[in-house]
Amino acid sequence: MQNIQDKEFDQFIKNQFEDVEMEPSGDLWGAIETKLEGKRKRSIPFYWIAAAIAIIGLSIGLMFMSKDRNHVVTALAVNHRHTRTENKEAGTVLPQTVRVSAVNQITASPVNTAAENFAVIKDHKQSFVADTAADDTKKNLLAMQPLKQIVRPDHQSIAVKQDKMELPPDIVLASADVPEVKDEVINENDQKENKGIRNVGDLVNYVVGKLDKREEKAIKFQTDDDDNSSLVGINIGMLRFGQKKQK
Amino acid sequence: MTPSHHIDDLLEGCKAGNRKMQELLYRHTSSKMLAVCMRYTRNRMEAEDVLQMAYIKIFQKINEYRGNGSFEGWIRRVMVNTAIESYRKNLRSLHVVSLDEGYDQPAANFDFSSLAMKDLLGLIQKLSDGYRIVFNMYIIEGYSHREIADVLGISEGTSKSQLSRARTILKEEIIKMEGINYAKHTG
Repeated sequence: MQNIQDKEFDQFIKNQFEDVEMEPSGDLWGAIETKLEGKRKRSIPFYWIAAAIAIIGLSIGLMFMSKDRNHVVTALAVNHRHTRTENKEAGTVLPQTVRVSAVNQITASPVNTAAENFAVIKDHKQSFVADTAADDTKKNLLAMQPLKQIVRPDHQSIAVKQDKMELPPDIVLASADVPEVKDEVINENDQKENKGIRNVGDLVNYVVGKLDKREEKAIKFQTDDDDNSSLVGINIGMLRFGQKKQK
Repeated sequence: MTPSHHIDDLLEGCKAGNRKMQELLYRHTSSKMLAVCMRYTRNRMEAEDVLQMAYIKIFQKINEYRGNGSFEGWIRRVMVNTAIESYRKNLRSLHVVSLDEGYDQPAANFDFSSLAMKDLLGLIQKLSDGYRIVFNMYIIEGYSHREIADVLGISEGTSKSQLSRARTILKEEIIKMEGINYAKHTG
């Protein structure tokens, strides 16, 4: 037996436990990992939401843009019809009649409903067309002079070829109508754009505004004074909501 | 490359929240840290609970390590603090012994040469919570009585008396064990 002092005893204990290792249970790391995963926030990052909205807006915009092209052709056809009517009243027969009917044949079947939708535009334009019909008839007469000279029994097919080659001068008439139908929503967007793109909402508005020319956009954000954007309107077929327009 | 260098290399990855680096740090240090936790608890199950809580705390608060002292030393301190917190949560109050009771204990005479670490660990684990914590903090971790008093919220005198009593009990238990071993050995 050996008499041991406190200091010796303490040193002995310390030495005994120095560099001691004991293997933990195999599944302990798994438990730690699970708890660490659980503490992480499981929220979808904001930029993913923004990207998803932009993609949706882009695809809807492309869809309506292709529709708008059909609308332009139809509107053109409507103007042609009016021109033809006025010309008939003036007692002038133009080969343009043939060409218009050809355009109508091309666009008639796929855009029947689109043509109906533009009935309102047609009404708006009617008065303007009537006012300018006399001047336009002169233009048309001048422009069509060479055509008239080469009119042959098979003039119908020749006229269709002309259509494909270049736009007739009366395209001026179609574009001259544009200021008559004012699109206030587009103007409103232009004002927003002047403030610059300050957040993702503005960016989506910009992209959708470029692609979707309807008054009620497929998706619309509003940016407040603090540069925070919030969703104020959706117009995707069945799904449709938005703030009432303030005038 | 020494193990301590290797742990330091993992530090930046762990600070970045890299799961692989965290696992490597766990693999490199957990055996040593479990041995620490075993001394502060009553059994392996409690020790592994403390170990688990401590590692979660380490990975969540690793940015608080500013390089003061060794990284392994910091990990060890987190283990000890977690063990103390666990002890407090379980509402086990410190068994406070008066100074008089602590002192004037006869010094035990024994031969400790054949004492195995595992036997000694078993004896430490049998100590009451207060004795065990003060004993470990002072003798093995090297805390001063003032530090122990601050951490445990007791007076320095109480810390000293706890240590003295723990030491006496352990010596007595070792003598008992030696007697049993001697009896076993001689048949």
